[in-house]
Amino acid sequence: MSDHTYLGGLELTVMLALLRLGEDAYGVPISREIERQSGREVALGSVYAALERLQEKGLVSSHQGEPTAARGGRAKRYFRATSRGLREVREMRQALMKLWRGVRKLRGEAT
Amino acid sequence: MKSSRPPILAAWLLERLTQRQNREALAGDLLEERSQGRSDMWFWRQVVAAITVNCLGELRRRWIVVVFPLVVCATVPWIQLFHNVRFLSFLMVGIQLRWPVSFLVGIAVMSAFQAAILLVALASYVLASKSFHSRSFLIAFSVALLVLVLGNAGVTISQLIPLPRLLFYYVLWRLPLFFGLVLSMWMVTRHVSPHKAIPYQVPG
Repeated sequence: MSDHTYLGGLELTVMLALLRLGEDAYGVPISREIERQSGREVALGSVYAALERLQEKGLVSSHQGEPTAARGGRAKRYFRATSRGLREVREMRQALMKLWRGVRKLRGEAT
Repeated sequence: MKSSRPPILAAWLLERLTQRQNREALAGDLLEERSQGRSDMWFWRQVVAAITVNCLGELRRRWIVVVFPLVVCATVPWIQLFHNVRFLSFLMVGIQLRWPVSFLVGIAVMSAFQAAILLVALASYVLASKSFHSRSFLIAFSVALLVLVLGNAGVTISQLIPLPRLLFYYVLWRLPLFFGLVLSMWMVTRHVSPHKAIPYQVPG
């Protein structure tokens, strides 16, 4: 039986933003990175819900930071991709690339 | 300079209606963004989105809290009940009293009947889900009783509106029991995680 995990659209987007940011990313930079790269604003609540699902699947891990005054004394929650998460994204990329290559309607578009 | 204090009601809702696991981090992120000039409207949008996402997630994880009450309410034979001679005679004794006693007795009879069904359904649920705690059970049942009484009062008053009788039998009389059961089931299991809890890692 395959041990692959299905990644939804937002989950994949969040994983990619997390990987772009490197280690110890938290909600605000992840949300900003998605907005910067895709031009779409994603609610922080949706980002955290996706991160929670990714953590349940073992694709990301998290740890708590120190509380700061700018955050009303609330701690940040830092996330990082696990090795399994990295492997899943790589495999999903390969699968999507194969699918893309076979779509005639997309041929001839600007690369 | 613009105040960085968030809208009070939005902050209150955020503290109560979002996922416990991420609440502190999410609230901190919103305050951080707010301190960098985000508007009240932006803060409200984020809070509403977070609450909606949380509700949908709860519904996905605790679907039984909605499906079981639907099944219970669908199987209660309201039409047969309202055509049952004993039940009607019992109800009529109360209804024939002077107003507002008749109104109160009518609501009490309906609520008592629904409370008996709710008690059996709720007890079955907590026993099946192995989540019985006497205190939370009593609180949940008391809240459900309140929902039944208020709901039945609402339905009784709505009978003044000329609506089809079948709408009352099939929908309106079932609503107080449905909402009472949903709320009480959610209350008795709200502290029980439906999935494996993932703790924070302790920083080294």
